[in-house]
Amino acid sequence: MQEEREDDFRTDAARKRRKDLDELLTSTFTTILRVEERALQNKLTRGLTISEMHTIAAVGLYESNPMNVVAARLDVTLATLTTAVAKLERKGFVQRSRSKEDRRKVLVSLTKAGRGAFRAHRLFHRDMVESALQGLTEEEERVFADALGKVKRFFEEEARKQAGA
Amino acid sequence: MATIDTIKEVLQENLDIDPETVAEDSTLESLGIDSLDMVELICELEERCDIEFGEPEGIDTIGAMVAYIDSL
Repeated sequence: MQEEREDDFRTDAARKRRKDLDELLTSTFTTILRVEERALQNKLTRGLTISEMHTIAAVGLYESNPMNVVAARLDVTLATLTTAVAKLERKGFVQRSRSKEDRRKVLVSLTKAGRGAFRAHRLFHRDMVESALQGLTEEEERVFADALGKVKRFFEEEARKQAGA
Repeated sequence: MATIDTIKEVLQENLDIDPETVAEDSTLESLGIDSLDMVELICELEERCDIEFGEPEGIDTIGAMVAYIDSL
């Protein structure tokens, strides 16, 4: 099986496919970001950047979380999150409070506007995935999910290595 | 205040929908409420009724929404 694949890589068709896939991965990633950015132009998320939107998503709909928990979810430093949260607080999407159990601990949660943005964003993702996969058969969707999952694991591993380097 | 009256009030204030046109059997679609309007409506109702609406699916009439809120 392995041998067959190696042979396959030497054919022109296989080389071309590799080149196409490289191009596909990069352009799909860029296009999704662009579509997502434009989708933020609705009445509930206007004025937010994608990264701010993802911070809101990481805070959680009804959760009240210590800052370090949200920072871990986003894989950013506490300092980065503190800056982002301060800005989102000024824009009215999140609020900070002191933990009742430990006064030194700062908790962050969504305001009404934050919950609106959270839900609008979730709607967008659901609709986007549904529309994007509409053209695939069930079998194609399964194969796609499986293959993309493997590719994703590779990138995650790369990112971990880079972070450790 | 009855749940349906709170809903009517929010619909009028936020989405400019005439309360006279809102009844239990009105579908959200017939009132011109799209998915983003629905989000706005839910967030407002959560605050006024002090509830956590969650993310239920399949609510397509005012009556269904009233029943859901009253069940919380």
